[in-house]
Amino acid sequence: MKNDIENSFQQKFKNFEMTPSEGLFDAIQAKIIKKKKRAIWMWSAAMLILAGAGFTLWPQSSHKYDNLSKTLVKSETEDPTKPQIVDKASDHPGSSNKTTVTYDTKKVIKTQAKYTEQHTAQKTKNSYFEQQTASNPLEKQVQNTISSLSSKDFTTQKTSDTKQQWAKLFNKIEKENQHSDATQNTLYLGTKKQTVDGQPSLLGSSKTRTQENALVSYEKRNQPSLASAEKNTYEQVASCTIAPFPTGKLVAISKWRIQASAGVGYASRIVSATTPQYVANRNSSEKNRVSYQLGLDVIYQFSPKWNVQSGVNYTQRNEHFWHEKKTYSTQSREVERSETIIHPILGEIERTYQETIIDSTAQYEETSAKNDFHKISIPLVLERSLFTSQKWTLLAKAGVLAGIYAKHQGMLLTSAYETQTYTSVPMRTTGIHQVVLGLGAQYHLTPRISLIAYPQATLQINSSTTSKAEFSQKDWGIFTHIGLRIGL
Amino acid sequence: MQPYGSPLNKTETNIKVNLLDEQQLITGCINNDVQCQKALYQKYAPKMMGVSLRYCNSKMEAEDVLQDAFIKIFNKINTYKGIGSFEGWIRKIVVFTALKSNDKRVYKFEPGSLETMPEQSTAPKAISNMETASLLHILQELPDGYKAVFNLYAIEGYSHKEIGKMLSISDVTSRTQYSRAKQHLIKLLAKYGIENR
Repeated sequence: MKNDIENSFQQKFKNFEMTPSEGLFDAIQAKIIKKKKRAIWMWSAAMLILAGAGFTLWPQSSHKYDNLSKTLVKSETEDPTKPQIVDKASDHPGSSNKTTVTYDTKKVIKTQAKYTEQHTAQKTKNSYFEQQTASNPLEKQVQNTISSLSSKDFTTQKTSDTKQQWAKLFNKIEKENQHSDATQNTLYLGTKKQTVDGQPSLLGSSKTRTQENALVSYEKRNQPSLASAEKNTYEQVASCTIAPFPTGKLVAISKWRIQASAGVGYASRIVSATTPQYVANRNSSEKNRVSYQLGLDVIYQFSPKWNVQSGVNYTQRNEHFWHEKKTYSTQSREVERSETIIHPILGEIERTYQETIIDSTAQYEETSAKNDFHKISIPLVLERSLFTSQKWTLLAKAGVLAGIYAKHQGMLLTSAYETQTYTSVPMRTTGIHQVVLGLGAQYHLTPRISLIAYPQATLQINSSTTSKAEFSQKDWGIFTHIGLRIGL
Repeated sequence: MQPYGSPLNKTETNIKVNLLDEQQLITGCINNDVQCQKALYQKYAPKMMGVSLRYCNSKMEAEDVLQDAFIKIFNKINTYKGIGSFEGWIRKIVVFTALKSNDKRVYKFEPGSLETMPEQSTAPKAISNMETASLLHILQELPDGYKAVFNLYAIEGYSHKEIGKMLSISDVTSRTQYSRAKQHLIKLLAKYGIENR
């Protein structure tokens, strides 16, 4: 309970007022406007960032013709959980041809959903494909064929008309697609991959493909992850019609690539020894020169973003050795000298004496040599694509270079400040391993061929010398590789 | 003692708020009408300055608090739902702003027991006879922690439990601090010759 003091204070301050300074309201207004302006700026910046991020990250249509790099990467990996459509031509008596059509699951479900809609509406044409403007005759042909096929009931696929249309379509694909490779069993049609098992000539020589082989049926394989609803949709669509093709450029490419690259860069070494003087001697006598690397790799793209590389790597690190040794030689000689002494009593006295003079001569012995270190290694590198646009891919890689051969030529200083050749030092000739890290760019010239520019750093894991040497030496280098990557 | 300006003591009729006018002001402020904002400011600023002064150590500090409080009021006026008096809502914002405004102000609350507090008294009549400005000056001489608790409990009328929540202390600490604040205040009053007469 409050006593009188509280009540007195309360009463006193109840209606207590004081006029604030003039201009306070203007200050409040100014602050409010400033806050609003700041809020507008922040919102604008946030919207710009969002718009930029959205523009960058918005998935580009994989149906586009020119989006080859993305299409390729996406198409190359076969997910066993994805639905597959199999041409049961192999079941047909007298034929060994088998065509497997693999769809990207999401695309198929999307496509089917659209198509089911149209099927319900009793439309005879597949407007999903009409939405995509056919830019060349092949695409038009593909679309027309698909449209006509998809409008028919699955049961009518067995008719010779349908078979003929399929055969024509495959002929057309084969004839007009510049990128298709008849020797390959796989070809890509947008996000769809077609594999012709055991019969490469099917694509190369479609004349051998009979109308019977064009019989298309469907079966699902290895799709445990498909939800039952999706499964039902798929079955429903499959049972009534041919799932439409996503159209795109036909590109035959496997998961294998080869890459040849050459790099120049700066390479040096880290020398450690028991005495700091030795390291100082070495550092003062050795100057780094431009170094080189060559690489020939086979790449296996095991997922859309990841690949593993191996092959041969050659590294040449260059140095210039220069050492100046100063030696002194002495020579003594006798010189006869005379002097006159003025004696207070005897007067002038002349004295003759012998003097020994030692001449010292400095001799400079200069030694210079070109030091070069050659290493041949087998790389085992994991690479990931970080960003892919229509023409460009940003890549990052990390791995090891397992050394199989090393040779060291040239000269170096001993701890006694004497010169010696590398042949007299117990250097390793094998087992010099390195780690490699790189961040590079890939420019797709064609769907198969791309240029790469790859700055990368290498660091030796173990010493170039054996344990018997008086020092340990680990090389490192930064190289920029320029090369060519070709899809097989 | 150094009095601050000339305090205004308006009559009860003058400060009565016409509900319709107040509602118009609020609506105008929601619509960012500068004239309405100015009218609202002119109406409540002197009173809120009085509130702010009790929590601060100087007029400049109190004006800073008032400025921040009115910015909050204008920005958040759309959240006033008409529950309780508008003046009470504004006062609450001013009090909270005053408590939170000065980050460097660290309230020192020492836990203690009420038994240790000797009870002293001062004649209320003597306080009533004092000028408010002088009393304010004495109040401002209190340490920050005491000042906050005394203002909140004795003048604003908050309970110790509410004060505990506002200042993140226990209600026992609030009670103790209040008791100490009061003793400190009585000493200050005695210092200025205001004693039980």
